[in-house]
Amino acid sequence: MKTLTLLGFLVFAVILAAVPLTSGNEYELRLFMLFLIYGMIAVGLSILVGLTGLVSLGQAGLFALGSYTGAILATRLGFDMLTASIAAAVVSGLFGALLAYPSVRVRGVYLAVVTIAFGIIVENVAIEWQSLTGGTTGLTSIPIPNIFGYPISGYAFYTVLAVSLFAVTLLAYNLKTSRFGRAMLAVAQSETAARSLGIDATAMRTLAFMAAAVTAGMAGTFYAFLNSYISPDIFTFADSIRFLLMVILGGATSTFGPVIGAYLLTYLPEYLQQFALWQKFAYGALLLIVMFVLPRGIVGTLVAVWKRWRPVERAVDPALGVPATATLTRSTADWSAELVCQDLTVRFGGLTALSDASMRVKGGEIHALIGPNGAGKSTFVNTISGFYQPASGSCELNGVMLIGKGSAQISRLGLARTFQNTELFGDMTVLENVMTGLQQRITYGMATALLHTAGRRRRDEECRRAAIGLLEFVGLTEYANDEARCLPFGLQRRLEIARALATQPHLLLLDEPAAGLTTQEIEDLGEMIKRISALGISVLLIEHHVDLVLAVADTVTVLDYGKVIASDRPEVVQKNPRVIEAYFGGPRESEGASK
Amino acid sequence: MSNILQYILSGLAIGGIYALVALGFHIMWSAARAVNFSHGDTLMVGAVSTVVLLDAGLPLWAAASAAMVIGTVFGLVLERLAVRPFASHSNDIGWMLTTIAIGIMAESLATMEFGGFSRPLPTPGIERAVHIGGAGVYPQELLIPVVAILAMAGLYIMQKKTLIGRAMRAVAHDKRAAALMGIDVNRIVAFSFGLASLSGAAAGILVGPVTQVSATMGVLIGLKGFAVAIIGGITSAPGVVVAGLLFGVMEKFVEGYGSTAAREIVGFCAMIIILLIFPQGIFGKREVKKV
Amino acid sequence: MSDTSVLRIENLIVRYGAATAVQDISLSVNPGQLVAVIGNNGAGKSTMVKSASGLVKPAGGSVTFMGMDTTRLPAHRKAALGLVMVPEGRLLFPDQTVEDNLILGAYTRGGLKTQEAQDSLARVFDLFPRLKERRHQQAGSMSGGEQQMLAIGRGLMAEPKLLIIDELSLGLAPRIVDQLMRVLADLNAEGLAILLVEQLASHALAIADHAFVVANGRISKQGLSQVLAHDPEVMEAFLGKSTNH
Repeated sequence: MKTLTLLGFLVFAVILAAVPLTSGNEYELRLFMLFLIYGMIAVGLSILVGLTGLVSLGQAGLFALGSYTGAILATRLGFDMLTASIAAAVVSGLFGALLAYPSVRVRGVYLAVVTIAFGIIVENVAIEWQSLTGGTTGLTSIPIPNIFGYPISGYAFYTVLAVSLFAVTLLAYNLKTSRFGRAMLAVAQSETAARSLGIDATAMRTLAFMAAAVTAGMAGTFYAFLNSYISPDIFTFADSIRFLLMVILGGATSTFGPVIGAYLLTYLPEYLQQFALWQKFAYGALLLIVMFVLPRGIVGTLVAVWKRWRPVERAVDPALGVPATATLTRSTADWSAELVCQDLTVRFGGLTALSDASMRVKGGEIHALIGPNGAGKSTFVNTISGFYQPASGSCELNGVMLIGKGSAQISRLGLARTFQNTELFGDMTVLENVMTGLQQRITYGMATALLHTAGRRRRDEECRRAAIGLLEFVGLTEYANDEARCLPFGLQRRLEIARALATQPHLLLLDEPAAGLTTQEIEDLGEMIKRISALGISVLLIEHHVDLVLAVADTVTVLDYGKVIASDRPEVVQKNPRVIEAYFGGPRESEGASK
Repeated sequence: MSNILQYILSGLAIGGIYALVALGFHIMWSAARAVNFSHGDTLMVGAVSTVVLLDAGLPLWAAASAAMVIGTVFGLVLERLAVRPFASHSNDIGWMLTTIAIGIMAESLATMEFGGFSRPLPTPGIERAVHIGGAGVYPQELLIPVVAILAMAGLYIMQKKTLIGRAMRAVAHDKRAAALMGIDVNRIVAFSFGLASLSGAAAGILVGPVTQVSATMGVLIGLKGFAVAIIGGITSAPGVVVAGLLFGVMEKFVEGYGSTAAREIVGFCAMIIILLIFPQGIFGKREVKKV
Repeated sequence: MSDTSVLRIENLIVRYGAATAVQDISLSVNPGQLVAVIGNNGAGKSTMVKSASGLVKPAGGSVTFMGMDTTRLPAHRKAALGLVMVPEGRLLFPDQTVEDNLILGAYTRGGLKTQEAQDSLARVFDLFPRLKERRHQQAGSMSGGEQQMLAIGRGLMAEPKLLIIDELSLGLAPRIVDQLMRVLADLNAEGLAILLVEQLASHALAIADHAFVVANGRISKQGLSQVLAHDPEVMEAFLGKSTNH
């Protein structure tokens, strides 16, 4: 796939170089330049849509913002085109960050409406602020394209645009394949899991919004210079829909999809002109058809077909990996990770799910937490991993208070967890799932990521080798390049454990890891838990399967009605009458008879 | 003084339309957790159909009734075609874009029938303006907020007192529990889209005489109706009606003392700010999500 | 041979995505029987009855109700036939009143339109006088025990031919569980076929005729309730083998 992408960039460069030589007249070239501008917007927007799964229906607003900023700087302050476009990118980027803020609290359709509202606000500010924007008549006296004051020819302008689109596409590709891109994908596929790996979901969404805004802002300035005239009615809601359609039509997750989508939707209206009134209808119909027939877009579908025709090797060579022991023991230099929870009380409305629950997981031990349905086990797990806030009580890991911290922060403190209903990143490969966990420890900065430096390549390779080692630890190297959602269920559970281990935790929290597994798989799981414990990682096991609990646990704590009713060695707990009653409902006559 | 009264009365008229549109969003959202994103176009369908049928020689009452039937059918078809196939997807992008697509297609069909210009929809309600304390309004305008409040009351009674209303609330709360009661969830969802579209078409016929009828008349009204639904709380029928009326009045004041552009800026900024402070809307209930 | 059982589940397999929750389960409920299904959490009991009631589509096997193949029927059609489930966690409509919930229970009969439906309501109020006292109160504001009463009452409003009850005891105090179990025994004595899925085995075995023990998505044991109640292996399914006797 990598060589294919490289080939794609080569072909792309050749096309960009060839077009001006073959275009017959200025009109044709202008139209192609318009496509280059739309292409930049689409590539930027694809980071938001394809990686974080959010939609913006206000991209025309950011485009307008960039356009006006660039045009005003050029006409009023005499900025040249390049400086103006950079300034416009900064201004749009700031507004993009602002636009990302509501995504902290609202998603889906609400967020879409916020972006629409933003577009309408920008359009109307442009109308209202006449002294600056020229009102409805717009700005007319935009200077001809120039760099540092020197006017440039049509072909030179073309070169600027072509290089810009090529660069934007390349940078977007670098971002997508970096740890940042993977974190964004993780947030989109399971925010809960992403946060449990220490990924700051808000930061990732803000980053994606900013990327989409910066490119739209830059494209806006280029557009102002190309058109030499802008007015508010060029930037409408319909344009926002068109930009989004470009991305989806081409394929939001692919590298060249948005470029192809932008090309088609720049030229399509030209062809549809002969249908006069039907043009708009056809446009709506196209949107409908894409959603039903090509939800992954043109390139996305082609890639899927290619993958089926030429499947990648599933397995990776375990010899390429760094042994898991090397990856994991580093984190357990301070051997005993102790979890102490005191008097935790959690209420939901009127219901008390946990009441004054206290427990202590000693360093290096395997501690099982059991209890009947609805006893409060899940509440306990979600509270200590930062997903719920307790009404009172405290919880410390190695003396560091966990209560009040977010789940991402708690993960970075060394608490990793799995989920009752597996929360894998289904569309990523098995290996990528683990790498996502590791990349919170093996890091590099944004500039390094975008420029794809040697340092980044080294870190990526380090990460990959550690991930292979962890896969070997759980026995999944032969599935490394499968998509996670295609794994059999038992292996999904193992992958989730490997991913949790990738954060190099002090304490591993397993939330019903045996649920849905076969007897043989449960035995293997028990053996694996012991191996994890042997590395010096404390394990808190929430489980129903008593056989497993009895086989591995050093200590068992029993919850019932939100209260701890017993905590001791397994064989003692097993005979505790209160535990028998909680599980079985009342003492058994046969028990009395046999004793 | 008369200015202020004028703003309030005209504001209540346009606010009543926002309220009716927002009620439609409320009805759809309650049952399906999805809406027709182009619900504004349902207004257009209602109003355009009425004008076309009037042209064909039908009396007003017949044209309006037929137009409401057309609007309802539009909603039912849209639900089946554009919403239901995406109902099970976790992502909202699907039905948002398909309903937008159908809206675009409906608008372009209406443009073909109508041309790109506005046309009047003559009703007895706009023959003569009445004067109240120096403010002049058409009886039609006074009628709109009354209809909005009556619609809200009717919806309330339906939800509390009829079997289908109870079933709608049941579906809204938990589709699986509703199915265990023997309720056909798909039918209830279709019914709610039909009902929302019926009220949307009626709103279009009510507002058409005041604002004129055109192929694009519904776009902005629809978006503002959604903004109102978000402000009031999309889960609360009284909430969206109150928010709608207030939003309309606020618009007229901003427009009166400022400009139309200022009106849109203030209105949509208000929506974003309120959404940030009250993610469930001012009167909305929190929708519980489990980890 | 004609099938006389009310519900017959044969070789049922249910998968959630890649997970197989029910491996292979067969069981039947005869007219007038109270059958208990016991087993630890996550054993597959709930999935099995969810599939029987149509909430989850089975991957294999068949579900026959009153001699009719209902394997692929959606939940609302099954409810209309009289296969009624009181779901795990009760799933009431908390923002509607007690009476509204009961009316919704009679949805397939057109609410309280008919005299028969009104008689059913009177009977439910007879059975659970607390519900009558609180008929205009919001269902969500009641205690757990009262909510479970309402859930059972709502199920009875549908005039069920078979009542499936999933995890009756969930979150309830033992005293209330006893009380509700007695109500089920009475209903069964009047001839209603009941399939009770329950984790608190001793309670369920005390009132059931026949019982099935589910472990790892399969039936691990079945037989008369009195027999199973004294079987040490059943206990082990819950708390494991006693290690030192």
